[in-house]
Order: sequence, then structure tokens, then C-alpha cells
Amino acid sequence: MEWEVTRDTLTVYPNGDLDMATAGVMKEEIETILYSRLGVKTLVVNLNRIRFIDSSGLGMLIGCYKYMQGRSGGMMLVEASKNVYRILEFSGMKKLMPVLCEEQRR
Amino acid sequence: MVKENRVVLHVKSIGENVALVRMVASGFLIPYDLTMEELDEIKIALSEAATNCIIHGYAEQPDKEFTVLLEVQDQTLTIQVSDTGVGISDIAQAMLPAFSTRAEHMGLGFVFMQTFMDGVEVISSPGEGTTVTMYKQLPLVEPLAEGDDWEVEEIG
Repeated sequence: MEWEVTRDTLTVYPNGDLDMATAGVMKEEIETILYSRLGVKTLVVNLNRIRFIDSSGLGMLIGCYKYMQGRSGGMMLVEASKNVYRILEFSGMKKLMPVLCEEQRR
Repeated sequence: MVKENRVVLHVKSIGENVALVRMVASGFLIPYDLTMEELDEIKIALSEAATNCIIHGYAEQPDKEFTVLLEVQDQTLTIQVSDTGVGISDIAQAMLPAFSTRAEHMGLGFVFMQTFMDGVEVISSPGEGTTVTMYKQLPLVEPLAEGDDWEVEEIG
């Protein structure tokens, strides 16, 4: 998984399907990156390369959100495709963190 | 008339196979003229049912097997996912939003199945296993009759 740190923000670019087979691995990868970079206060997950998400994928994102909360940080989801954005909206993710679709580039 | 078809898969209970089952369903549904949105919703419902078999039914034991039936008959898609795992003692409770026996899960699985499909039935006995059957009405595609107007749309 590609990632970059700019000042206090970690941006990750997961790809493929976000389901039970991939969610755990991705969460571990993200936590490993964050573990050694205590200065990171914001986690940005760029969902541009994610074409499918189910409740396992959503659970993984919630897990990351709780992890960031644990270190008094924040999280946002950006560049979600139309289908993925719809599921994020439906699941109430927007109540927890900013969620932007592909058209709403920052 | 929507074409009738039927596929039965016996699937080893490992996480990687959830994506495989979704792929088979996508291929199975090609002839039925669904929108990308409808197809995605069906794939999510199937993904939730298969994930439940592996995580809950079999507690992630990889040497087990679950069964997926895909069927189209009378313009209705039936997806049936069964395991012979632990079963559910309280089905009504299991289907409640945000109910989960595991902390890291959101309890959205059955909510997605019920939202994205037209009907969901759950049969389960503790110690014997669980069968989830989901239905969805497929759009009726009328074949072109002689004398019908038609045109070719140029794309891009």
C-alpha cells in the first residue's frame, strides 16, 4: 500500500476490495506506519483505488478512527468512488469524520 | 423473459474466497441488465452472508466449507448461503442493527442484506448451522419485437 507523510498528516492509498480478507491486513499496515510516527495527528484514507467495500471494510475504518482518537488525532476519507461513497453515507460514517467523494477533491 | 439459470458453489471457509464468490455472482448476473448500483448492492449482501459463515458460523476455522446457491427463476434472483457451523440461538437479536458478538464488527451485515435485497430469510439451529436465503426481483427486459423502433447510441 502506498502512503506519504506530509507534516502531521499521513495519507494512505489502499487498493482493491475492502472486505474481510483485506481489512485486517490494511489496518495492521496503517497502524505499523503510525506506530513509529507519533507526530502524525491526521489520517487521510484516499479511497480512489477502492472499488468495493462491505461491513468488514467499514469496521476496519472505524477501527482506524478509534486508533486516531486514542492519540487525540483525527481522520478523514477522501476521493471515494460513487458506489463506495454511497455505502459510507448509508453506514453513518459522515457522523464520525469528513467523507469526500471523487468529485470533491481537497 | 429473463433467462433462468442456477449455480451451486462449495466454498472453503477462508476470507479470500469471499471475493471469489462475489466475482462468480457478478459473472452470473451479466445477462440480467442490472445497473452498477444494483450489482454492487447484491455483491455486498452476498459478501455479508459469506463473511458471516466464515467469521461467525465457523469461527474462522479454515478447514470448513459453506455453500452458495445462485438461481434465477421467474424473474427472481435467489441467493442462498449455508454453513454447518455453530448456528444462531436468537435470530431476531442477530438481525438487529449494531448487534455483534465481536467488538471489531459493526453489526451491519444483516442490515445490508435487508436493505439491498427484497427479502431475507434466516433458518438456523444452534450446533447445526445457518442458511440465509435472499431474494431480489430482476428487471424485466423485453426482447425487441419486429417493427419496434430502435437506434444505436454512439458512445464517446
